[in-house]
Amino acid sequence: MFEAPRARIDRRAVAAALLDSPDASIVDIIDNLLDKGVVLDGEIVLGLAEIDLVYLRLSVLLVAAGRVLTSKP
Amino acid sequence: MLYVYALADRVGDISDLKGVRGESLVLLHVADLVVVAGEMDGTPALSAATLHAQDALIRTLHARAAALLPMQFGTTQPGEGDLVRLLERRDDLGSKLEKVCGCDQMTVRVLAATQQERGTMMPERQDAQAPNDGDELPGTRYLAARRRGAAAAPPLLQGIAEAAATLSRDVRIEPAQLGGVAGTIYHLIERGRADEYRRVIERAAAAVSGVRVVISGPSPPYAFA
Repeated sequence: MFEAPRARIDRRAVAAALLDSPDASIVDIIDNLLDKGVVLDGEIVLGLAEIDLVYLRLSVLLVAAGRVLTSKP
Repeated sequence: MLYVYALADRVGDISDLKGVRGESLVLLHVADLVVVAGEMDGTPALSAATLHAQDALIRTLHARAAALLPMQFGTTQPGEGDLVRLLERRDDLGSKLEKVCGCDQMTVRVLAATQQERGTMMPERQDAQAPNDGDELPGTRYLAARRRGAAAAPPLLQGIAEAAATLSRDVRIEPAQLGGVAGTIYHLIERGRADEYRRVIERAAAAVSGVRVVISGPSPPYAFA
């Protein structure tokens, strides 16, 4: 069976390029604001793409937000 | 509803500052804490612009307070009473404020270079597809390799982190779960010592073959909130 060659991704190069880019600060901002900070015991509401409102417990939010952000071009 | 930005020991005048939606900010006094919040009808959309705006506000507040704990993005409460009840149940916030008083956060992302290190940190796909040894399924071996990798990560990070021990009031080390980045080190250091910190960390990283670091900061103490 024919299998198309998969491009190998140099993860370190990708990480280095991202962290060295002029937008590197967004990495810190996402890390700090979505994964750090005081977490109160409560539900939060996030508007995503100005369309959906997602009600999630905080712990679940972190995973969801990460996926949403990384899926954008 | 209240959108909560940060907790502080005390903050001066903030009448010149606006929230992420341009709303006026309010200071609420709860026991020994000061809460910085904004009144909103709904919550702000999750976007790069909103994240930048909130981070900029937190940095300004951090500069005006001796001790500040940023809230996680998206933190809301229906009203002041709900917020007060919630905060009154948290007996850890005072000690956290004491710890971050007069301090900045520095962040070090550690990039490991060699194949050996990459294999230890994050096994490549072919590891999982290698022939079976004994009764272990490929998936079992893959997860076991990842577990070993996670266990092996700290010494590399620990060594770099310890280089700044004399400058550090606290440290938090997070081994990475993604390839390329071996992990992230967060240090809490006295304000005004960022340049000294950078020199120490860069010297420590240069002594380790195949490792590179990306240092950012100073920033508010998000990782210690």
